[in-house]
Amino acid sequence: MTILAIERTSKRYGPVCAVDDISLTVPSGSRTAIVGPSGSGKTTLLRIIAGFEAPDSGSIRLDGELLADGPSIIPAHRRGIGFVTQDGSLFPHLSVADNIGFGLERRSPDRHKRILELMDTVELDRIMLDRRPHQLSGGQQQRVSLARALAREPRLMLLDEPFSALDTGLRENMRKAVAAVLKKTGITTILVTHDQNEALSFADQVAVLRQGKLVQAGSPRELYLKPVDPVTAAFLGDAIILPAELGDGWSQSAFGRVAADTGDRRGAADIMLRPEQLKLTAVAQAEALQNSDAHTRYAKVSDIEFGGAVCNVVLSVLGADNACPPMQIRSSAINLPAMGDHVRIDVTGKVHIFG
Amino acid sequence: MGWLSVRATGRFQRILEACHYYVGSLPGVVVALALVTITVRVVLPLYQTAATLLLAYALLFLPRALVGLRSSIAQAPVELERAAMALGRTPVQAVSQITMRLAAPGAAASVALVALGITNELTATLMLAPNGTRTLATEFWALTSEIDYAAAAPYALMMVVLSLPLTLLLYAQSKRIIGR
Repeated sequence: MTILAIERTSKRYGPVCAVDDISLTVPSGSRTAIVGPSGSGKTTLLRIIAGFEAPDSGSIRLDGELLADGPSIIPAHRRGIGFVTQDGSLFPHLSVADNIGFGLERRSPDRHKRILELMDTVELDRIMLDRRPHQLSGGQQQRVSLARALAREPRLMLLDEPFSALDTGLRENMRKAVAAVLKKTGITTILVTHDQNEALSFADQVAVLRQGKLVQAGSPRELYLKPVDPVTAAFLGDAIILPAELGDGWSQSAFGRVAADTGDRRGAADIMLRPEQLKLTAVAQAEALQNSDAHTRYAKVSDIEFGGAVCNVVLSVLGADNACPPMQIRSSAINLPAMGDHVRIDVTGKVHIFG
Repeated sequence: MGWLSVRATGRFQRILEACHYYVGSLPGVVVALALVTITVRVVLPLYQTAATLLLAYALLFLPRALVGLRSSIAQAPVELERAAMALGRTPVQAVSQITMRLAAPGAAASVALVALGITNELTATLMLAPNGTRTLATEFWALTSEIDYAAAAPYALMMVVLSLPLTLLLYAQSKRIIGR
């Protein structure tokens, strides 16, 4: 069931269209990630949903209730939407307990009990209760911020790059912890991020924004394997994009003949592969030179960049026409070929064809 | 005004703010003379009343207060106001409970600064104060002009003593800001 429906929403700042005719629906209880490079309008969209900005046109409905209809909006404090920012935005003059309890009824008898419950929910040690925000680490501040937003039992939780100020290791832990908490409480969540890994691993639905426009929305798997255009493909992860000739269920390219969902399409098209689809097997030079044909491709390793878990291998494909530039492929350090080796390229799965 | 100049930076607000600073840069005697002229010519009953004196003080010292207040409001990020609104506070409540609360130390410092200035203010007081008003500064001035330094000294001492707690407050405030 849809809980949030954004319909044809636009917002301009002078000549710049920050949000350009965006429509998006968010299913109840789901986690949606809005991802895009900086300046793509994702934070503006989030602010419009939160009620800190009014859209120029379009409408936003939460649970059937009209929150914004063009520039006339229901103000933020009457929306029941939780908001967690990049730095947590804790009130520096209040203790952790008072920060968490800020949205609770001040005279409520079970206020303290509720604060303790919330601290347990976000796995925050009760020792922290009387500390001030500046005495907490970044991760702890984010937990307090999340607890503070959860206290009001919001219908919708908005997370504005909540992990980007944290260290790499901590970031992943926090992401998992936050996802677990939100799942437990069953609150519909929208996460805004510029980190595509974060978006893909956190969300059930990912919406890619570019220059204020919604480029594509769908499940993480769908977006990763079937991106709508080359820019989106490259944004969501390493992608090898190359020209190919399409036939009945196959594509012919520098990587040889590979299966593809061609449908009715024939002729020239751009195709995309994810580097993890490629498997390199070292072979003798003679075999490579002899067997290389249009179906099976062999290549010579022209450069290797060792990078620990992931290494860069540069291949020049044998038998491909001269227009084909050297291919850069990420490969695991295990079975890494040496420079000058010949390798056979096997492609698992299908290639994706751009429309 | 301080809140406006930080949060809503429009052309009108900038002009309004600039007016404050412009008046603040005028010597006290200029403002005082202007007020004397106005009160004598236009509203004579107000000449040499406490109201006119307070107006002069406001014109002269409000800019000083504004500078302090403005910077302390700028230190309270707008995200905190937004966070408060997302937690069910109305915009007015958000400003009063968060921004004003965070700006309070800065506001106190501004009050201290202004109080220091007014304690030592002489020219406007002399020209505008009702007859018979005696402040430390005017007494000191009157006595030194009679070359009665011994009698003037206690007034000077009292000004210094009165300024001390305010100066200490300002010092503590500046240390707190650096310490953060």
